Amino acid sequence: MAALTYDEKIKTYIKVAIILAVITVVEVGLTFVPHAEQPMKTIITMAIVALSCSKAFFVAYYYMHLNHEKPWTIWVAASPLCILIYVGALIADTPSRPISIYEAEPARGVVYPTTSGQGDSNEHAEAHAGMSSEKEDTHGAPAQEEVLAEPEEGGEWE
Amino acid sequence: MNGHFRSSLWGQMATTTHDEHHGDYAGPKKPRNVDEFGTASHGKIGMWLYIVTDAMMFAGFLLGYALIRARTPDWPHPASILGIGLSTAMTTLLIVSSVTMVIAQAKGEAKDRAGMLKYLGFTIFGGILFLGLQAYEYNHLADAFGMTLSNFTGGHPLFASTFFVVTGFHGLHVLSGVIYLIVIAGRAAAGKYDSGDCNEVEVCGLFWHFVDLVWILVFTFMYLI
Repeated sequence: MAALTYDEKIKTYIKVAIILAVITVVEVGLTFVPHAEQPMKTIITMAIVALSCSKAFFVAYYYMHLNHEKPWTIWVAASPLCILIYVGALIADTPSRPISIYEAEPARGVVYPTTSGQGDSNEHAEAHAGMSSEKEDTHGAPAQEEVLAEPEEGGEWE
Repeated sequence: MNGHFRSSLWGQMATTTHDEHHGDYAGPKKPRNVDEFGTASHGKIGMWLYIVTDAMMFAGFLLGYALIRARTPDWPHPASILGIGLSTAMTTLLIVSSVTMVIAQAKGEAKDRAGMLKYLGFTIFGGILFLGLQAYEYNHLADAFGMTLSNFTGGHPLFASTFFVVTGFHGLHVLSGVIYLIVIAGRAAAGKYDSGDCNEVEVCGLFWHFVDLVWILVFTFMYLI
């Protein structure tokens, strides 16, 4: 490190900055390529992720001076990459998971029908069944309270 | 019983402190008998260990985001909600401030105090500008889409939650980085680094570059794809 002169350092830094700028432009440009359909979607996404990982590498290697460090410091710095094991496990596990994270525990107001006398809350729950975007809203709560109150009135459960 | 041990321990600490403040400064302290780390100082290895833990925290955030996004139906496309132009400007800003940070360190190592202060100033300005842009972005998103930690009118509320948690944590890192840089700039102005030993500047730079590195990944995962 000491061998490098000021001008040599600045030259490297500017070079890396230009590379980073070019990669950023390419990345942002890639988002404007139409990729709603499946084969292109995966390709574009993977390309953007790979480009940004290369950017992260450039920053760590040249700006954080890993190019001047001994192997042990580099190993320490690279240790968070072991998160990739977890990423791989999650990807491998994905097919066995439900499509929605809410399917495992559906909105209660939708699944358990209330009695006919309490039509108000029933309609409320049904109106919400179609709106997947607001499933974990608080609207499910009143219906659930009435379901829980039912055994006390009818006494038929269990 | 413990007195001797304790007094010798205190004695050692006092000696160390004494050396640091009054003795001739002989460069950054290096780990003894650990050749594997080369010339890396204690401070640098400590900062790297901190960065490792911090990187794992952000990795956890981004993984959680990916899982939630993959398993939630009708996830809005980020580019349709978040401004790509503004976030690209923020990315460029952080990268440029990283460049000015390494230039500041190079200036310091060349014993150019005024130049180092100038470039540290650019870096601090870049950080503050980034925070300003982020505040503007949050404000705009709250106005246009009712985005808060738990509300979002444009789709699933988890979109807003994950966005604010990840970018908010990164913003806090930028804020602490700016404070760190201001402290280092103050020490530089006081002439602490005039000997050309810029270890503290380099350690601070490590943190700043890490913040930049994290933003590169956050920008990719939360804005672009």
